[in-house]
Amino acid sequence: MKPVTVFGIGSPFGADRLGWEAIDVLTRVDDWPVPVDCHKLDRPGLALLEQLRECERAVLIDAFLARDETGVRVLSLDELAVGSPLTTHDAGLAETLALGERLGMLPGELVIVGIGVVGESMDEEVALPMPEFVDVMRGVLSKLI
Amino acid sequence: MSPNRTIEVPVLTRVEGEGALDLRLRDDAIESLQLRIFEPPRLFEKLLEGRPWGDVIDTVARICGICPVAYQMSAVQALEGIFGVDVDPAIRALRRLMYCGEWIESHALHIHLLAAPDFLGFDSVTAMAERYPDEVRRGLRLQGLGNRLLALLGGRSVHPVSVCVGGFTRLPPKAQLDALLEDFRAALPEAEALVAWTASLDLPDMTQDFPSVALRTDDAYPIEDGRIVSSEGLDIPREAFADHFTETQVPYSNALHCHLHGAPYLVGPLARLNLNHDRLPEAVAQSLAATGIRFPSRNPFHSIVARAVEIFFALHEAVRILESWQAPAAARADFSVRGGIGYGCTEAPRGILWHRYELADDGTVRAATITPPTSQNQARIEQDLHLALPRFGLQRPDDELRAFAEQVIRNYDPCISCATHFLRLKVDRAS
Repeated sequence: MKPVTVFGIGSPFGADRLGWEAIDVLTRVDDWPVPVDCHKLDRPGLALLEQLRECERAVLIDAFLARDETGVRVLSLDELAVGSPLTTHDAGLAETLALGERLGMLPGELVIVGIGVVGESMDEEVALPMPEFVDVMRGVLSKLI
Repeated sequence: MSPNRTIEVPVLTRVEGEGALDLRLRDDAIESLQLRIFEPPRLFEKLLEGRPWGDVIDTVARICGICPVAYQMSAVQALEGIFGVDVDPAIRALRRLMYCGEWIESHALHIHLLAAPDFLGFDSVTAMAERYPDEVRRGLRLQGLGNRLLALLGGRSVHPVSVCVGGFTRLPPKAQLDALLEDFRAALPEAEALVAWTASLDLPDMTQDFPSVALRTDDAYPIEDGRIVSSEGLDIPREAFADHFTETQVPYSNALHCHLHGAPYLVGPLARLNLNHDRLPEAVAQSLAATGIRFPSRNPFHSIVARAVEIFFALHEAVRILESWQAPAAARADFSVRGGIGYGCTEAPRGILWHRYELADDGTVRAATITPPTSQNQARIEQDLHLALPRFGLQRPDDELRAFAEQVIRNYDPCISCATHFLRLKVDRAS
């Protein structure tokens, strides 16, 4: 079975590194419903579209600031609020995916898994919610068989 | 219409960092015009004081997420000058190659995300992508190539970490360089088409007089080395920068203004091309000639064409280096730490980036001065607005003036975050 490509988006700092920790968990566990091809991406901005271009099925994992509820959940493209216009330094996931959708550069099957972090910023160190993350990923990957 | 109007662009969009423009008109003439940069000062030069020399390169790389290589290259040049390091030619070539990646990435993003929507009448690249999907895809592919080069040579594309005094912390595997070579060769026609496409845009004709300042070498288009020259005849080594260029603070901006002999000047792609178009390789020179635009150009809006030409050049240069590069015996040269004063000046995507470091005998940083391109272009941007807005028509409605002023500013690709670590700090201590 062809593997599903999974990208963990993040940076080395604070809660922003949860996307990378998610990839560490995915590579440690070996009984996922489908094989997974895992990659850590360091704040890719628009370069994410180049990464997605060659994928048929992909899962994106990224931490986001939640208003009042932590947890792991699947987000739709519509749920990602498009904020400020793109700049060279700061192309967020929402803006990047909106552009990718407009250009037809997104994979046929794309799932976005958000790890909600409650707080004022992503600066605080936060642990990856377990076993919730594994449960959500099992559900996501079983639908991609 | 009222004889007195105040037009504000409260937050400049599609530029990096936080700035604004205040424009006061009286009787359809400009009474005052201020490009306000209120991004908080970042004080990098002060942060470096008292730190060991080994912290410098990775610290200054954090000043900018889009041109960290430029900061690393100017810093390493200055430190190697102090330590008297003899850098292997193969290492110099690899650094030039890495810099090509940064130019390609930065220019491709500015052309497609920031500038082109202005000239095609869209408010964002997402809107532009509906009518011009192939052009936007081409821009993303070119930007991706630049990113790959940075990631391979720098360990990662964001804030690369491999540049060190004497060379690199590690050399890239030859097989990966060869794989890149094929993709860079394949992209040459796309870059050539980009030059023609930018020249075909309906660019405003805002011809005006300004001095251009860039690096220049005897035999190559300048990137990581050269003397500082100007269109007015200046020709100096990097050590003499402070004898001719003066930084001053204005009350409304957190970034210093910089003048050459008391006057504004231009740095960046257009200034580089104006002063170095005779240093382009034949294929790139031919593509520039085919546009019908004559260089040197005095129209600032030709900057987008200059950026496209430099993408084509950087791809061409990368192919040339990749085809002939042989790994040196060692990734870095040996050296001994000693004190002294060193200078670095290289061509960041947005123009010359000048560094000066003073080290104690044990390598501790005593003083650091960094003059980035956006700081140098600030006075020129204000001068451009003073000239261009009346020609555009000051009697036009506020919204049109506001949009055009933003377009003028954006044309310089200002990186405001880079420019705001220069606030002079005065401390009064009560005894």
